Amino acid sequence: MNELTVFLLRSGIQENTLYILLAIPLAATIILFARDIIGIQSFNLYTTVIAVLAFASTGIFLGLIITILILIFDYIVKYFIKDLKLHYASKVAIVISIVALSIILSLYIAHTFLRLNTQISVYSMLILILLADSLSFTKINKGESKGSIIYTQTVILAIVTFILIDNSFTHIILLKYPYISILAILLDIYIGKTSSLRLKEFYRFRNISKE
Amino acid sequence: MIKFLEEYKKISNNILGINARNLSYIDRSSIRVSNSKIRVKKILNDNNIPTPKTISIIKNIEDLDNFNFNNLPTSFVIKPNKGLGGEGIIIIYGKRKKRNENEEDAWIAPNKEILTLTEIKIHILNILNGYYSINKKNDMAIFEERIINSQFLRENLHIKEGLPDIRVVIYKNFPIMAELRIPTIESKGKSNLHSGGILVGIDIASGITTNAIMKDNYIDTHPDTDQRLSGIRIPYWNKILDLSIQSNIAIHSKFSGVDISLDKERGPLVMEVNARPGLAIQIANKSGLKERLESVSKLKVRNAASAIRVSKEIFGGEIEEEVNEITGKIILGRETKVKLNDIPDFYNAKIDTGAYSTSISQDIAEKIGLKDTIDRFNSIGNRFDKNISNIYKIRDNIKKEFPEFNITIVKSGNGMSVRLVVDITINFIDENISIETKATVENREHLKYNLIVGRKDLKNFLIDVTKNT
Repeated sequence: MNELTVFLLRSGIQENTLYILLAIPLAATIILFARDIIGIQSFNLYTTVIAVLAFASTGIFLGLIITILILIFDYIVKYFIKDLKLHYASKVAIVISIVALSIILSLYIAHTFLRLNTQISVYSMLILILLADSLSFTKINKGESKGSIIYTQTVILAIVTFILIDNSFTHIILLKYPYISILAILLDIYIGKTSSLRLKEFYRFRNISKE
Repeated sequence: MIKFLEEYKKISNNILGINARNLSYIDRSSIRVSNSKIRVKKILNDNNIPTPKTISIIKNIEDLDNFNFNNLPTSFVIKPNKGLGGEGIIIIYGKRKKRNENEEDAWIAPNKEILTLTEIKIHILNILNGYYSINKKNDMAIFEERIINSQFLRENLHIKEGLPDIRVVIYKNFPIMAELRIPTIESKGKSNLHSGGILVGIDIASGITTNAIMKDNYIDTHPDTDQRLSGIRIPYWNKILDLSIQSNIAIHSKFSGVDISLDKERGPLVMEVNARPGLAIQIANKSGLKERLESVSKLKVRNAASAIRVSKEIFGGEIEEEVNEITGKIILGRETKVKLNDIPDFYNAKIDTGAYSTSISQDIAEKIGLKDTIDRFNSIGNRFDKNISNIYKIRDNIKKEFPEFNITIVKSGNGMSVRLVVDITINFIDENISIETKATVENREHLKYNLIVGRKDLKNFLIDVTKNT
C-alpha cells in the first residue's frame, strides 16, 4: 500500500472515509467528461456528484426504485395540485413531503418483497430529496418534459459513475495510488480548456455538413 | 475508427458547439448587460434603436401589491427580466368579459387559455422569486406592449397567434447567420425551438428563407397552417441587418444574437440581445457557424454598411439555385426554347408577364393541325372593334352563329378583338417541364415571336430578366 495512504490511515482516518474523499475528484471528472465531452445533460455538477454518493449508500437497485418513484410521484402530485394554483414554494413543499413518504413505501417494498438491505444512511435520503427539488426547479425553468429528461440523465449518469468508482478494482488502485485524484484535477483543467464538439452535438449536426 | 475521427474533425472545424461557443466566443464583459432585458432596452433606447414600449416594471412585492391591473392596455406581455429561452413569458391577448359582478378579472392567453388575476399575480411572484431567472436569484417582471404582427407576416405566414421574430447572429459587427423563428400552437406563442417553435434559415444576401426545422427535423410547411416556409422574402432585410449591428455596437458586445420583430406600424423592433445564441440555427441554415465566425475574425470594416456588404458577399447563397430548390419554382429568362404538342421544331417563346394569356401565331396553329378551323374562323366577318360594348356584341353574335368555336376577347394595342382559343401543350426544353394550357391564336407574321407565354401560365415560374437562354 502507498506510504501516504498508510500514513493517513494510521493518523485515524477511516479507510472508507478516505476512499470516498479520494473518489469524489474522480467522480467529478467522470461527470465533467460525460457533460462536456459526451454532451449528457444533468443537474449541476454538485447535485450529480452527491447523487453518486446516495447510490453508494442505497445500492443501485434500491436507489433506482426510489428515483423512479420520485419521478412518478412528482408527476402525480403536480397533476392533483395543478388546479389549486399554488405558489411555487408550496408546490415544492408538497412534492418533498410526498417524496419523503414515498421513500418509506419503497423501503417497505424493498425489504418485504425484494429482501434488500434497507439500512440506508440519512444523508442519502436527504440527497434523494434534493434530487426531487432539482427536478421541480428544472421543470419550471425548462419545461415539464425537458425537466424529466434531465432528471433521468442525471440518475443514469450517477449510476454509471457509481459503477465506475465503487468496485474492488478502483478501490485497490485508488488506495494504492492516491495521486490519481490529483491527476483527475489536471484532467478537469484539460476538459475545461477544450473547445471541441461534444459527441452528442457531432451526431446532431453531422448531417448538415454532408450536403 | 479512423473514419469516425476524420469525420469528427471535419465537422468540428465547421460546426460551432457549446464548448467552443462558451470558451471562445461568448463575451464575458457584455454578458451581464445582455442578461438583463431592462438594461439592454435602456441602452438601445439611448441609441435611438426602436424597441417595444415598456408599460411597467415590477421590481418587488410592494410594486406588485400597488400595481393597478385596470390601467393595463387590452393586450400586453409579461416577461422575466433575466429569463432564459423564452420561459416565463406570457402573452395576453385581451381581457375576458365578466359574466357577472363577482367574477374575478381574467385575461386571455394563447390557445384561448384563461388566466385569472390571482394566477397572473402568482406568475409574477414566481418571476420575482427568480424561478425563471438565468442566475436563479431574485428578478424583476416587465409589462411590455404586445407587438401586432406586420401585415407581411400575417399575409405570408398566416400567423394568427404569437410573434415570429428574426434572429441575426452578429460577430465583430458582421452579420454571420440569420433565422426566422415562428411560434406554433405547441409553443404557446413563443418562438424558441425548445418550446416547440419553428426555425427557418435565412439567406444573408437576399433575406429569403431557406430550410425550416422543428425539433431538429426538417419540415416543409407550418404544422398548424400548412403554410410553405421556404422561399419567403423577409421585408426590411437591410434595415434588420443594420439594426442588429447597431444593437451589438450599442451594448459593446462582440458576439450576440439579436432578436427583431416586425410591428404592424413601427416596422422592425429590437426585442432582445442574447449573449448565448442557440446553435440550432446551423441546422436551419445547413451551414456551420464556426467556419463563418473564423472567416470574419481577422476582417475589419469601417461601418455597418460595409459589414453588411461583406457578409452578403461571403455568406450569401447562390440565389438562383436556392430559389429554385426552395420554392419549387423554376427560373425563366425573357425568352426560352420550347416545343409545342408533337411538332419536332423548336421555337423561341417570349416570356411576357405583361400579357395575361398565352398566344400562338397562326403559322404554328396551322402546324398543329388546326388549318381548317383557322381558315373557317378567319372567314367570319368583323372580329375587331375599338369599343368595349361593341366587341361584346360581336363575340355574342359569333358564339350564337358558330357555337363550335372556342373564343375569347383579347385586348391589343389599338383595340379589342375576338380570337380563337386552342388547347396546346408547351414543353419547356431547358427547364424540362411541360404545361397544358389554352392559347389564343394571333396573326403575328410580322412579329418576332411565334409564341408568347402570358402570366396566366407563369404561376409556377420566377422570371429573371438577366437570365440568358
